[in-house]
Amino acid sequence: MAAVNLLSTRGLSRNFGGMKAVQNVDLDLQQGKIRALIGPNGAGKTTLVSMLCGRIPASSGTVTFLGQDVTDMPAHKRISMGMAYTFQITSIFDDLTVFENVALAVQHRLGRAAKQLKPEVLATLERVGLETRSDQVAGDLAYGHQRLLEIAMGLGQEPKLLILDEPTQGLSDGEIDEFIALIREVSANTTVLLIEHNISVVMALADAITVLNFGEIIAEGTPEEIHANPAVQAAYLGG
Amino acid sequence: MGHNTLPTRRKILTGMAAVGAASALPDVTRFAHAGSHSAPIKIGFQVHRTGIGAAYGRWYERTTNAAAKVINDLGGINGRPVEIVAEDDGTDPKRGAEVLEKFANQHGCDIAYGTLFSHVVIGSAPRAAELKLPYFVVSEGHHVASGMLNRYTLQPGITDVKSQVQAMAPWVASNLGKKVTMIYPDFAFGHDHRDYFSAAIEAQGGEVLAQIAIPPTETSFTKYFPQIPRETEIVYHVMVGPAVLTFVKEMGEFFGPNAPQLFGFVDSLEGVDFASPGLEFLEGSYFWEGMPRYAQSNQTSYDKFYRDSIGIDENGAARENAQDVSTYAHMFGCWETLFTIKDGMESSGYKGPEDRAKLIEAVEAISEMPESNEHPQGEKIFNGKTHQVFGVQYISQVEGGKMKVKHTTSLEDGYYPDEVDYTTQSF
Amino acid sequence: MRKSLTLHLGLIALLFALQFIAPAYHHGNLARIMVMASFAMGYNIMFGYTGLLSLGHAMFFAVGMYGMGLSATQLGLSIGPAFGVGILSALICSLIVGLLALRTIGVAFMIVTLMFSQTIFLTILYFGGITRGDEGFVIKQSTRQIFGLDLSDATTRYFAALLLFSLVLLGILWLVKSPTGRVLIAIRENEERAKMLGYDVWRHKLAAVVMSGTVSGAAGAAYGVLFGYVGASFSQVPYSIFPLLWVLLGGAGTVIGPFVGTLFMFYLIDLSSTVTDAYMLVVGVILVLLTMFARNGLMGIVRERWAKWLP
Repeated sequence: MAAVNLLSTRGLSRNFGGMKAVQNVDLDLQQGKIRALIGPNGAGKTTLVSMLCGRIPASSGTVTFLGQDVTDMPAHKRISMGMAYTFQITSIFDDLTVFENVALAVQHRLGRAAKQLKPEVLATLERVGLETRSDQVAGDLAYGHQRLLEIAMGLGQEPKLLILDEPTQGLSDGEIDEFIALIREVSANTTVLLIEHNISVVMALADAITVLNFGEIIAEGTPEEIHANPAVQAAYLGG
Repeated sequence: MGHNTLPTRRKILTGMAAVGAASALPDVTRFAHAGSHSAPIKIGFQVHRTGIGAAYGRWYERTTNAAAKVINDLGGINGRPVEIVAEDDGTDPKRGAEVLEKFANQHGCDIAYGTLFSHVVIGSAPRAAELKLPYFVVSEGHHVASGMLNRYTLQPGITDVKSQVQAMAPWVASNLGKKVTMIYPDFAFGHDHRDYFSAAIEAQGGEVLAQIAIPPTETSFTKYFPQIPRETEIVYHVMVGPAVLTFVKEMGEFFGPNAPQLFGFVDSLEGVDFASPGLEFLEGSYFWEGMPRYAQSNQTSYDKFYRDSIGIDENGAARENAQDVSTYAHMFGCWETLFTIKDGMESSGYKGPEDRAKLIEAVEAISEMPESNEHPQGEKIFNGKTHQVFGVQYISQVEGGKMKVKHTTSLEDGYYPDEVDYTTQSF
Repeated sequence: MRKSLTLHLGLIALLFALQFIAPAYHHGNLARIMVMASFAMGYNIMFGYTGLLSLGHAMFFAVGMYGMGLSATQLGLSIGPAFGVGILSALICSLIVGLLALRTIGVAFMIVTLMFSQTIFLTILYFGGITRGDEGFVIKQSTRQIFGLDLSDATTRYFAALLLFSLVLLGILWLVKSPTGRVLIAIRENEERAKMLGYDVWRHKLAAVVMSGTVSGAAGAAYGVLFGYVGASFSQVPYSIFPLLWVLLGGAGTVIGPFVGTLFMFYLIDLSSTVTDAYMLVVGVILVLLTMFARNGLMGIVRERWAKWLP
């Protein structure tokens, strides 16, 4: 069966002044797969995914999502098409309750179907295990719980493409195991792009891995292929 | 309206006699016949203590308190003492309207009085009518006589700007020149000068060569002076607000010794000492004065009495502080208005708020106001239909850093056709 | 939801009852406070709920006021349609200002709104021939009639002010509970996150500016109708600062806060001015104390301590 590309980039680049943060990236995300994006610190991973979801504009190149060129499309429209992005640095609504945070994610998808809001929010909270904390103010949650809330907001959108930017940072081992199980479950009907430092999480989840170094893709393949790739090892050890 | 003339005069004469005697009487006898009416007549005084009008407001208040003291020393009004209930309006129309409500509904004032700035008057006057509270303003705006306001609002103590400006034109045209350039602030007060003086000088065969409007936010004026046409014989200037002194000084620097004739409204320099540095070039120039700031060689006994009562020296400054120059050209309006209120209350037999309509009718019936202690600025005619008083105006020349009166206009110079008849409005 | 509805309907009921029992002076004050509180509630949509700090709200109040006043005096419209023109003018003004000012953020946004407001003030002066410049003009008592009711009558005025106030209060209560209102709050709390949840932040902000400006304009038009005066002082800087202070004092981002702040500030000035001429200093000191010790305003404290449900 030929893989259907949910999202593709061609020649995607981004310069900050003279610095080339991302160069000439051709990336294809197959529908229904979990792709991990790894690379040393400063490799340009967050810059790359920010261009995918529209947080920052590309200097050159194209982004195609669901067969449509979205390169010049503002972020909120890409999100409305079915992308979701969870932030590397926790970005939640601190003064609102856990419920309200997720409700904001769910509400956009539901539109006028307000009756569905409450059950869907509670169901989403249950998936990440925050259902008992729905009335707590988000800013009062422990850090790990805030990370889970961030993920819940991504899930609440029921996206076609879920972009997770270092989601396990700060989670306990037990929470990481639950996270892995959760993403496996989600991937049944969602394509996932995962930026992750924890290599065991990557190995446990990824169908394929893309390695970025100095803004360029230096390797791409199955976890086994990447594990054996000398260029990757050089980048990590040297970088 | 003539029927009221005689009793008015008689009362004024007895009043004048009583002024001298009053201070000799012990306090207990002053309101001896007051009986059940000994409760004071409360006059709500809307005063600009803060905001842009504060410099004027301070002197309005001092004049008001002095006049009230004189009235009380004379035995009050209808045997009752006068109590001035002052409330700051912040020189703001919204607060002004609130203050009127406070007078009527909180303090139980009989009337409201004393407002200077036009926007506060116009913002408050609708409330006065709704509260059925007689409202005596001291604003010199044309708003009363224009018909914009209502039966409850009267201006019996100071001539309106339309009349003032019009009365200047004949003397200016025949003595200073016929080709005029006007410099005025670009808001309603300035526009009144522009419109009324232009019409009046043209009626005298003169012409206005240029009208230079200065935006109200302006703080430097040098760029406007080159707009004055060369053939200008006379520059007519009137500025108010915080930047006036800068304006006058920069005008002096611009013209140097080769100035055309200068004619200004003293509004620009109210409260300002003519001896201030930078004002030397004003020597020889002319000003409108509502009332001569410097005691003249032919000073009337009325002016002397008025100055003494408020505590003002012969230079128009506070007795206790020669630097503290009064707003002499305007504040007489407070004094005269209070005496007109007294006159109206006495001729209507005013007893309380139920007589407010009678009070207004009584004031409307007043016509002549002879020069007196009660009207030290000069004789006046009150027009009961337009609720506006018309008085003489003074044109003074700066001589040796003081202003000397060169011309006193006639009452007729300031007359114009009635624009409203408030007496046809119901109460 | 029930608690919040009880509270807000209760406030309206209380104000309704006060119509019959308040002494004349306070009766008049309350009518005016309800109009000015509507102005503040309009301001609160932008500042309290969307996090947009405008320093030029006097322009919306004034545009509503002059739209009403000029269409009544110059075009001869009766008061009902003139009021409608006032609201429409404010709507158009806020749409234009929103489209232009929202290109900027933060301090620049504050300055741009301030400049726009100054432009409105100078425009009023420039057209002095019909606006009477700084002096303003009177809306004749005889024209202030609607459906045979005399709006200059104290009781009618009170009920008209209460009607405006109630509509705005309940309208905003509905708004903040609505999906749109939740998005505005989300933008205030974390604009980037709101955007990355798929919300068109710019359009929501524009909607907030338009709603805020239109409500403020309605209050301005109502002031002219009910108190008979239209004047340029309402377009000047103090009237841009007042709604900010009222909202800060009462509690930004609470539905009831702007009313509490307006009420509190009115009586603070009214009472302190009887004691001292430096009453603005008293007001200033109290505001400084509030910002130091009660950053969220009076109703903000109530929400923190006793009533987390307060909208």
